[in-house]
Amino acid sequence: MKRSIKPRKVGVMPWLISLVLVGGALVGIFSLGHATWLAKIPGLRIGAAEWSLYQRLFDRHPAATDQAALPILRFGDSKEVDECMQAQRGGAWRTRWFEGDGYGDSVEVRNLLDREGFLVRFKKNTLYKEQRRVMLTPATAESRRVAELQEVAHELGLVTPSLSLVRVLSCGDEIGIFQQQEWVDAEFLDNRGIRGASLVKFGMDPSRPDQQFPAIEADSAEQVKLRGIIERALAEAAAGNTDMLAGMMDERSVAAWALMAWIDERDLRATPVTFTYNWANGRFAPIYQPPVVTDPMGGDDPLVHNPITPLLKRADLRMRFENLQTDLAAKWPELQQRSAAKLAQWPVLPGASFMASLSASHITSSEALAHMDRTLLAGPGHATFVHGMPLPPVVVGTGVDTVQLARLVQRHKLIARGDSIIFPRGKYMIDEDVEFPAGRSVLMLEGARLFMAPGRSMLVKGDLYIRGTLRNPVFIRAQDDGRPFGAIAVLGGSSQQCAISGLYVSGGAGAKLADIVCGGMVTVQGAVRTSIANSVFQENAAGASLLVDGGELEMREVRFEDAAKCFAQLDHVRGVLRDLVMIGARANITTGLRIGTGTMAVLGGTYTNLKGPAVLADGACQVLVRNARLAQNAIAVRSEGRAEVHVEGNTIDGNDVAFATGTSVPGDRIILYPNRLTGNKAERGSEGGFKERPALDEATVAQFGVPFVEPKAEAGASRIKARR
Amino acid sequence: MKRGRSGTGAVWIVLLIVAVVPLVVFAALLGPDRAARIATASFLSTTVDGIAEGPGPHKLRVVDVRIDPAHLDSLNSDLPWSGGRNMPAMLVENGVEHPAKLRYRGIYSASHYLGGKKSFRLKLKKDNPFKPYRRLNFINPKSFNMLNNHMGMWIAGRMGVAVPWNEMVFVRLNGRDYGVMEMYEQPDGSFERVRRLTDVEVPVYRGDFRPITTRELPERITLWRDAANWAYVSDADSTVAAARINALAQAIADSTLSLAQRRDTLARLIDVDAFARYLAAMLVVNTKHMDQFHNQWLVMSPRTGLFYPIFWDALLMFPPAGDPLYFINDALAHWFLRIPEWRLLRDRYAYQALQDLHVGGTFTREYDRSIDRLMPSVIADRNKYGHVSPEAVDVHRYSIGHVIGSFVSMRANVNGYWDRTLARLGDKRVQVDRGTDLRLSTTSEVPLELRWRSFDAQPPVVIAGADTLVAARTDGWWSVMIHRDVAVPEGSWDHPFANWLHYNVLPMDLTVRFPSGRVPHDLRITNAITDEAVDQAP
Repeated sequence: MKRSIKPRKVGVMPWLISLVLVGGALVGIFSLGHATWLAKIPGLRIGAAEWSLYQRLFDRHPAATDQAALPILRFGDSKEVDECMQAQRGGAWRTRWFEGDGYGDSVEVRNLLDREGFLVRFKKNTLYKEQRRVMLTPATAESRRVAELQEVAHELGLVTPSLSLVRVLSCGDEIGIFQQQEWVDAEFLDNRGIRGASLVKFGMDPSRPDQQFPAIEADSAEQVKLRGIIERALAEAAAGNTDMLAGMMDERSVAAWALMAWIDERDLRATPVTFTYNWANGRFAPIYQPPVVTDPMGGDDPLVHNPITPLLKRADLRMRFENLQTDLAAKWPELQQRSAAKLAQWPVLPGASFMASLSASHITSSEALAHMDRTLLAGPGHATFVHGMPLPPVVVGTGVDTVQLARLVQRHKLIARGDSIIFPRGKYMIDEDVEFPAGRSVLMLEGARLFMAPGRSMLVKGDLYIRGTLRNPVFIRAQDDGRPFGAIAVLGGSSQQCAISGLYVSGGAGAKLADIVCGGMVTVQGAVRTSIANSVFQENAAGASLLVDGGELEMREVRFEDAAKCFAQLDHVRGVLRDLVMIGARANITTGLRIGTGTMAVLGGTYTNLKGPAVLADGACQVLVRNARLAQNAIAVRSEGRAEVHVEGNTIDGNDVAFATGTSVPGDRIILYPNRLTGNKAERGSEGGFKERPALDEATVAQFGVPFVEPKAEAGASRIKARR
Repeated sequence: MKRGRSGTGAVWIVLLIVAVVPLVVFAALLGPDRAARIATASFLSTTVDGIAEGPGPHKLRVVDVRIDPAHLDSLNSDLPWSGGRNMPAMLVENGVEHPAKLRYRGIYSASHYLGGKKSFRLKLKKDNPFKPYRRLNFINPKSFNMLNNHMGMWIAGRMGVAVPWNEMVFVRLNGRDYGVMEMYEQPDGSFERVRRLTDVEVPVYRGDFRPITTRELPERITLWRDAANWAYVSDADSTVAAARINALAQAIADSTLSLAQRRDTLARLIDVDAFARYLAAMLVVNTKHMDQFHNQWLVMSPRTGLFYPIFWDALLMFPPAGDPLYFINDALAHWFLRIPEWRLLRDRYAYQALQDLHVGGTFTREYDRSIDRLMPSVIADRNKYGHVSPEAVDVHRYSIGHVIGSFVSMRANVNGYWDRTLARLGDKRVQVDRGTDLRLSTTSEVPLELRWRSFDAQPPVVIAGADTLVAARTDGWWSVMIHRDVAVPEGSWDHPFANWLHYNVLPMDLTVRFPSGRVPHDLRITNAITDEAVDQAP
């Protein structure tokens, strides 16, 4: 059969059909698909940026409803320049009117210099959510990855800047969803309870003359001193001796940071690393910030001498690193779930979950350490610049600690095992101020009874673990009734942890330790994570029975009772308090729970007989009070400053005032959902600042990092009651 | 069947004439060598570069500059004289326009302003994408390989010499590819602040040609003739710095000082270690580009109060004539290299650097890494302009072939030169006669160290030729250094302001007498630069 040589004419319809089919398929894939699916196709490696690009073109998935729930930041025009924020030129600061989340004031805005986005600077005396500066970068698929990385870093005990999604309106026009990230500065440290610390930024690119010495945010004398210490330690490390460097670095956070650098596939040369330097314990600890530039191919370019990679040649740090790898891989599925719940707002962004695509085998890969093992170079001209620089003698920090510690261990008959100092069961008369250095963990085992001499304190610069039980608690008491001891304090550099269970403590008055005021009988300041369970805080003369400043806090079934000025004071903390019991003494004006800045979920529990507010939210905190009983208090819930309190499902009875606001700042300070209110003398103690909503929604609860539906509470609280 | 004549033959003949006639004409006008070089560059840049495959994404930083074409026309109107005025421009980074001032720079080398890729300087606001740097030069690379200056700076920086930030970048101008350029920090009073060493400006002096004020190149001035020839480029208080640079200029110009007086005076004004590294880097980089007249910078260190130099415009393998070991680039070097201990310090730094760069292969790795980063941008760069002949005006477009050829020849040049230099610095040939006295004869250029053990409580005194040397004790050994005598070539003007001289090392024939009246039995003779034992011929 002969085919016709006449070309077949393709009409309009076939063209249209083919366009619709191909276009529809693309829209379908990129609207409904996930990058992980494509990643599973052999030979097809699609990066997040590539996915994002196509998704921007083809994703037509309706997301407007989720976006509507995001907080809105509004920026106005500027008197200095005609352009609105999005058209602002250069890197200079421009003053603009700003409104967001109950805040309204003029702020300064400038373009970021190393990436797309803006830096917003608030006035010193009117911080925005306790932040002086926030960074706004356009939200992309990468942003979700960044948020998940932050969660992983947090899990590893690293200090990280807070991150959220916001909608940004400029001169009335919406310019998109932005990732709002806390800027790392002095206020950042304050917000985490890290006192007496300086920020030190190290670059790792050996081709940059400006990165061979750290940028130190301190006065000039401190700069000279710190630069000398760093230079000496790095010179020793370059000569193959890393002892001094190891002695001045917080090894746990170094190992965690290095693991994060492996996971986030950063180009080590591109993003400088910021450290905190704690003047009290002389230690540096890295802060985790997401990378600006990634290098998935894992280049092996040389790095400039730096305080991280040389330490990874040490056997102890390698072991710590490998342990972290194993631990993280083991809890990866759980972490994925937790992170998904916590980042409920982030799926409004395109792209797949990064955590879902990352395998445990990648985390535990043996290549991770090899990746960090780079050639190290001095910066250009380094020898000339070092000439004449005052360098301190080589000091190995742990040596000095060891001598003091040995004396302490011998005197109090403690057990020193590895990095841990153990108080086994027994009676300890503490007649002097005791200080445990950084890098050492203090363990108090069940049955340990500490009797503190008047005015004496215990300061722990490492981790503190109190492991009592309800049957065999750990007691900390004053030696003489009526003559209080100082404080039991944990002062963290950034990566310290504090875990307390089965503690009975009373008789403290607070103290000033290492030039830092420790206002609580038990003070935990700057620890990255604190958990307190099954413990009892009793009569004391301190500013608070418990003071936690900075980090993440979890409390469960803790009882506060007897005379105290305040039972628990929590500042700059993100945490969850479950089933607390606070019972005030009749004679005292006691505040129950005082929350400064931070985000706190108060779930369940009983707050009764308090002559001050049972829950006092101050500063710029966000508080959720749910399913608790607030009875017979002067005020059940009070919101001051810019605090915002969500109150739902509580039983509030017999109080003088159920809800009160005390602020001149406009906005909704107490958001009321359905509660059971009976027998209160007055329901509201003030006119303004209240808002009623019919039901608590899932998005609001997600902000507090707790599930919308709580698993059934155990009967722990009643056990404590029964024991009493 | 007989095919008809197509006429192709005639066409070929015409094309041949069209191609050959200009060659002949230009060969007659310019000379055959010059014409051939220009023609080759032109041919290759249009053919070879034209068929180059897709280069892939840039690995270099891309710098996007915008300027009003009218401003550009104004700068181009009467080059090189018209290019020095600052014009408003924009640097675009992450979609944000950063205000800048742009002007052309470089007037003495035609490659800066002839051709399609002109060197320029950007002056930026304090908060800019290159922060903490504010003034950046974008230089049309001076060699075909584009890397010779960059690598020269890298070598000097690695040797511990202060260098400006130097990075290869790909420039886009007004939305069009402008090509690969060398981005270069312009030093000023912020030099140490940028490096996080101080919070304030420090005194910085620039030694360069005078600024151009008329349509003529100004007369060249010998910088060290007068401290006023050094331009102060800092906002720091200059009182102390001015006094010190005056003292330095006087110490250099004063011909009445003894060697010891001069050494001690200079040591209180300059950072000897930094200058030893600087001169060592000059030897390793093999350049004569920092001379009596230009390419010099001095910074007064706030830590020591002494001046240290900045390595500038290095030009790897831009050698002084005759392969000298002790090239005198300027008046300060004239005295510095006369002081034997300082000369030895320089030589030891040079030797250490060659061990690292050449023997250890560090240079080759960095060179390969730099080429790897550069290549996609070089292929994308259709605007490669440079000197295609030794004539200054012959700035023409060159091709990727030139670049690759230059990579190869640079590698060969570097390896050849470093082999020779290492051999000279590591020379171990010495004729040693041990009798009552020690007789040392050699034509090598290296100083020697004599070491021996003895129970002397007081430092022994050794007579070496006419010199009396007091031994020093190190690790249980007594030692003396036998330095070499140097002199400028016969008939040269032995004066600090003489231009582009060098020292020759004079042959050694020396008798050494030890205090015990005999040569110690355990005497060790080593090359003082390498610390290796000499070959004791005969």
